[in-house]
Amino acid sequence: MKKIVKFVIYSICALLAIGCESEEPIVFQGIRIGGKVTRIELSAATISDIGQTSATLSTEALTLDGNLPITQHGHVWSSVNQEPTTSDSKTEFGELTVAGIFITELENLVPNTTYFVRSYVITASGTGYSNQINAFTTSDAPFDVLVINEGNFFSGDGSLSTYQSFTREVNLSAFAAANGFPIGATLQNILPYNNQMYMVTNAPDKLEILDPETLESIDIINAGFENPIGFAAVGTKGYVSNWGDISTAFGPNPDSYITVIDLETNLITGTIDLNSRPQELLAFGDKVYIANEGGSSISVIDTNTDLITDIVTESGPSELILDANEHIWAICTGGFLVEIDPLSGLVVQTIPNVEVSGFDEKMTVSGDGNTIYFLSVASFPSTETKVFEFEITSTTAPSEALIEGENFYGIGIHPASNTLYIGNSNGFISNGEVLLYDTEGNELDDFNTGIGPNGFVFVD
Amino acid sequence: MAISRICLLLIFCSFQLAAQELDSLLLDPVEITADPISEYSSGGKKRDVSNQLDGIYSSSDLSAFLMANTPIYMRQLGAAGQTSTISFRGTGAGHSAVYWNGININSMTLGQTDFSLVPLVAAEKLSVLYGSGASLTGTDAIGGSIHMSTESRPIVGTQISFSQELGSFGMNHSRLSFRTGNKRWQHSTKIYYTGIENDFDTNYRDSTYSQNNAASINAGLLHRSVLKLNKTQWLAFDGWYHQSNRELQPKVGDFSNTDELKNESIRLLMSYKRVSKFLNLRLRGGFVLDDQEYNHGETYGTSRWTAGGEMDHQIFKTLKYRVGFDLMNIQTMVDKYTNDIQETRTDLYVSLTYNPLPDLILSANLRQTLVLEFNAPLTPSLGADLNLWTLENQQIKLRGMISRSYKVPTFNDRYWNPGGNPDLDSEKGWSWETGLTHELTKDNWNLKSDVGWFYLSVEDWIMWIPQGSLWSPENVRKVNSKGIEIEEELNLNFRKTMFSIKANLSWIHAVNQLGIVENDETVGKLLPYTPEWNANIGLTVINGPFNWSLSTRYVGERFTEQSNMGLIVEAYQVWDTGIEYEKKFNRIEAKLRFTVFNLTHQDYENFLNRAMPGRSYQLGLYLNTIKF
Repeated sequence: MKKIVKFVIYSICALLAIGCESEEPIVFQGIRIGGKVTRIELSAATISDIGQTSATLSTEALTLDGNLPITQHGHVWSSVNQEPTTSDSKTEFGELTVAGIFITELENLVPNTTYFVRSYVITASGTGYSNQINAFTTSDAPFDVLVINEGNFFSGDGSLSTYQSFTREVNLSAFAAANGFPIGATLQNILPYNNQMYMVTNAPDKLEILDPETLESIDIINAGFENPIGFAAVGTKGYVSNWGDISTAFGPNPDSYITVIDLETNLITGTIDLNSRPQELLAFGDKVYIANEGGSSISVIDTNTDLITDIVTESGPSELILDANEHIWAICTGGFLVEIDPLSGLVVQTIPNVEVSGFDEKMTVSGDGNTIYFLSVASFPSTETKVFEFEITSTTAPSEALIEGENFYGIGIHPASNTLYIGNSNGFISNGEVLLYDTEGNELDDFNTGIGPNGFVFVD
Repeated sequence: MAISRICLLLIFCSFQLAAQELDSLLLDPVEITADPISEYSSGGKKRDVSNQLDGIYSSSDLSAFLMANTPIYMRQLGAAGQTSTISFRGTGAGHSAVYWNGININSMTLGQTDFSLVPLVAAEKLSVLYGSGASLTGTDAIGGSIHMSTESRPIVGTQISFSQELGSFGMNHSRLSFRTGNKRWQHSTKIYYTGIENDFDTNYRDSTYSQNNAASINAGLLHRSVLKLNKTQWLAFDGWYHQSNRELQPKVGDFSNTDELKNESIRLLMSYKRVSKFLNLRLRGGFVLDDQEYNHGETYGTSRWTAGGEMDHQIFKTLKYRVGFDLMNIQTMVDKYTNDIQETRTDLYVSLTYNPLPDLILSANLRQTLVLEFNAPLTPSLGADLNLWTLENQQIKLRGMISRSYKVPTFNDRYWNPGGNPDLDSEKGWSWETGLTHELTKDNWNLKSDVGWFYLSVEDWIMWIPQGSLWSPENVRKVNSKGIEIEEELNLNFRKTMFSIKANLSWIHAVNQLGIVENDETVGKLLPYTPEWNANIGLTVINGPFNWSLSTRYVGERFTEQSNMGLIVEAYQVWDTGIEYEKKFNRIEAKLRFTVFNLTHQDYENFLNRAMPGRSYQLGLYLNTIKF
């Protein structure tokens, strides 16, 4: 009578760039129209042959209801609407009188985008849809992932690697390949902004501006920083967080500060003194938020005035992300996740008992802003590291790790494919590796990268 | 004139190897302090390079000298005066021992020597012992050892020497030495100073800037007094004070770095020697103080008292043995250790040399370090020198040696806070080597060739690895290194001109054997900063008062990263040349020398991101009084 719903989905994502693919037809207990179940049965839409701008949709009509003729059928799809309807893009194949497969060939899609797809039928009683299936089209740029490789502090062999998630092409030293000389420093951070790429390095301490596509060095600010870490920008102003003199940075009176830069001239316009040692920055609205890992607060710079205020949090906020509700989350070395509403400037929630590393936390958020992933490094002498998953709707800290391994040093998540990228430092003994996982914790792929991969940047 | 003749004589003598005349029992009376390597090290490869000390590198440090004259690779973190560490036969910086008058001057905290802190002037005699020397002289001598001695032939009268050099990039070297002696007393005092600004042009990306923060000053004082008590007993005192103040050369493009390092060391030694027909006795006591200050902040100091003695006994005409001991009491004064550490080490050793056949000499050695805090292995060695074939003017010799070596875990490895691991074991090694020497002597020329093959293996090599939130050292590494060393020397006397060519070529393959992390890609890969190919050639031409020398060295490419996938520092070749003019006046011998370093203005790096200077010039004046 009714076929049991079998739901087998597994992703072979990075290899074939397919969001998901089902093996057996998924049979629904008829298509619901106007709340009533019919005897029309369709298989779930399947998506195959996904490329950078194209995809093939296929549905099998299994059973038709003789009393309810189908006057119109096809596929609907949207990159915006998670439940696409006939108001969105659609194909129209007319009457459906014989069971069989109907296929839509999609073209001219936008690369690096997730598309949501359903099959539909129109009868005299109304329109019915199958369940939604989604997949993402891959990037057509020469690279869509940048890997930040710190390098060894003494040698200054930091590097930038690039990766194309569809072709799996790796450029181990993309900066050196583009410029003819290596970075020559420890690479801390890189951020795309306003059609430029801003790169923060230590020893020498500088901010280098790159072309976002070719990675060629356009300009460089050589002085005015001391142990810089993070970069954020609002409007035409850039802000860099500096630990300051290393001999006082970890003491009670650090000489930490923010360097303010005019991004139109690439000249430093001033500095803002900080009371605590800062780590990462986040820009939202017209404000820049500073995670003060050396203290217990998040500083807020109003970029119109460059005046600074503080939001008190738990001890050691280290990294900041923006979630789906436009709230800022901070992960704290004291073992907390703190949620802040930027509009009110108040702490909305503090989640305790978070298993953190205790220093230089690494955190990322999924493309839809709903799930946070962070690393936790076990204490000496263990070399174990864990990846934890946290839904923003959750109120308790995750207790079980999603992924466990050794020497994880950086984490990122591809906003389109939802693939986790984990940087493995190999203990800084040699070049590092990037491991790709799906959000279920299954290992998908890996590739070699430079020394000490500490983070990722995903670009279109 | 007299000096060049002596030089020539010494050039011909320089290649003398271990086949000693054992029936001259009385050791050369000048060897009071110690030169333990020559007699009991049959089968090993050793080179006495004392005659080359007066060449164009005479005011340089040990690092520049060794790079130019031996197949040893030195990792130089920048221009002259910057940190230089040794890589002997593919081993690490702490795997070679440096001895000054028998005292191992490797830092107690780091377990290695910064060769830029060892000026050539601190040695009257210099020898290089290739390969393991643990059975003879103890810890650290895994890849090889460097032996410096202040022994010199006794003089009667007084001799004063003064030299002054000026060179590019603010180079300034002065040296004054005063020697006086009679049949009973010998005194010698030397003061030296070398300063350099190192503001050479550095290329960075598409522009050039003046190198910043690389200046250094090295200065010191050496003294030696010898008292001949009677025909069979001597007493000697040696002292060496050295101070170094330098800026640490930053990476290329780092314009704001102001790091500085100050080093100070005091080395004092009293020695006693007594000879008799079949028995020789040596006793010694010493004190060494090392102090380091980084950025006017933290200090790292150690001091130690040493005492030792050995007895050589000639049992038969063909058999001689030695027993000895070395005691050391070390005290640390390091800010970064939780507590000050005190440690006592006792070394016991026995050596044997046996001449069973006229053409064969065998040596066996055994040494054991005893210390409470860690284990050191027993280190034996066995070696043989054989005259394979002797003709009227040719000789072929064969040598072979097998030995065990070790290195004690350093104080930093064990006590650094945070991370130090007091449970570390010693690093251990095995090595064996063999070689063939051919000497050909004709009327006015001679040719010496040496081809050697070595294999060494080091395990429990200590590496600092991140373990969670801290870095901590473990005995995790195992390395096999093998190689071939070829040496050629040709001396020719033609039309009142003397030519001398010395060449070294080495191929070294140092490979990591053990993985440490999952999916470790470093296994089977060459070690970073151990070039496979290394070569140097030195040419000297002497005619009348003129002496011209030309020297070149080639260093093969070096990986910077353990899995060989990272950046590579390119291979380079550098040329140096110098011309000397000598004139003898009534009571003074004067020499003028003009030297050009990096003749071809080669743009190269020894260590990644540390610039090296382009062409530089040096002018020197050397005055010696003829003894009065």
